[in-house]
Amino acid sequence: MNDILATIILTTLLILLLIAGVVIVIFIANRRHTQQQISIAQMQVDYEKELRTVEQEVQEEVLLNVSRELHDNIGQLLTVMHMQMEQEKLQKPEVINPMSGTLQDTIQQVRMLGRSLNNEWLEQNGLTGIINNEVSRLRQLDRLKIHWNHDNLEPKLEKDQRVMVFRMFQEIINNALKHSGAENIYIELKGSDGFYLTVKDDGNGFDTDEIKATGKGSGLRNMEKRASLSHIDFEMIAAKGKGSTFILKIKKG
Amino acid sequence: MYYLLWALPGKIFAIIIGFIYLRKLPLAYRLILLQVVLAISAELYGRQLAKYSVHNAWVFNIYNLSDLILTGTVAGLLLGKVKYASIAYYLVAIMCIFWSIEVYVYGIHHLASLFFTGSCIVLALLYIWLLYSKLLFTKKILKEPVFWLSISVILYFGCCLPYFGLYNYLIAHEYVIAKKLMNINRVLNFLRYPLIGVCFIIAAKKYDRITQTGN
Repeated sequence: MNDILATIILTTLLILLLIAGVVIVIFIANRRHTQQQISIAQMQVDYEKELRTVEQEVQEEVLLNVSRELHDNIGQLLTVMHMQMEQEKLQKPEVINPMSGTLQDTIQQVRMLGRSLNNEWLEQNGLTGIINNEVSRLRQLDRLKIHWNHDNLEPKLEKDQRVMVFRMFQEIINNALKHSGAENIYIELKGSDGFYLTVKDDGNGFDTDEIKATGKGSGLRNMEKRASLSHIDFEMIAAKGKGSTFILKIKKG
Repeated sequence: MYYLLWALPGKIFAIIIGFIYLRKLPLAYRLILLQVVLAISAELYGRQLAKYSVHNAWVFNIYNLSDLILTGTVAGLLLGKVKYASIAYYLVAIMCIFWSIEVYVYGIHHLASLFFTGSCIVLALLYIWLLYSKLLFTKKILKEPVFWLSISVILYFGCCLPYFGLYNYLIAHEYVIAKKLMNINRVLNFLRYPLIGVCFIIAAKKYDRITQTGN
């Protein structure tokens, strides 16, 4: 009698142990699979980062080449043309003088454009210097009023961060010129608290949610990715009819 | 009375939870709720018949068949893939034929323990398979209603197997032991239905969120 009782109880316990074993095996397999998924996701993030870095390097290389071409080739040709005009000035001053002035402005514009594309110039003059150069160039275009304000302190940024920030700044300004219909752009750069840059315009603005939902604004998404890659905080405040503000600052911690 | 104390609380808990979240539960979990309602009804009616010394094995024979059909169908529904679901439905159909034969041969007043043993094996294997196919690649395994349902079914039917496999033999030859071993069923009953209650809560939350977000 006791044998039957013991056998049934033991068999039941054995089955219970088997069930526990199956559940534990499934748990372990599940944990392993989850960890594998996490490492695959991490690898994808790393790959994307690497890809963006290479993209950025290639872009900077291309811009550097264009900048050198502008300076060494087109700039030289324009300078030679200017010198020839100066020689002709004495004979026909009333014709040559206005042309010479325009040519002088063109040389100046080409030089500034060359600088803004050249990150070596950015290294020599810092972020404040190159934004100053960009502001002068934009003011000469005379398409909108630029309000430029800085505290004369060079932001504490790494080389790559400086290049990235400047390219983002150019993208923001370019967007404002092309799409915003703004009359004023307010630029503020502070180096006192590490780094803080705001670019604000009084244009048409846009609906950030709508842009994200419709999949438009690849430039904006690109900026967000670039900022994240460089450990920069990128904030975008915009509403239809209320202009837009872009804030770039150094990530704390 | 002592028996009902073990058998009823878990079922009542599962039924209350099931009816609270009834609207949010998908079909599979509603069928499980129906199974719990049938279980409590069979339990109470069977006890009532036993109280007046009337044969009650037929009640449990019918209930065991309904348990197999409902729990097996739910396994098929949750497995999802037509091929796997078909296997589950075929197994349930085969077991139904087996039930008919056993009841025809031994009569309705004889507990169909061979059928019950077979259905224990079928259901335990189906739910182990369900656990493996559905939850192996899921991130938060404890937040899946299938996990709690599978554990309740595997635990109950897996551990019932040795006792109910020998039930008729024990009743005929070792009645005292059969009575003593009934405690296994009581404990398993006590565990099975609260787990189903937990499964209802998680399922309701999960499917309500899916309906709201459309994901």
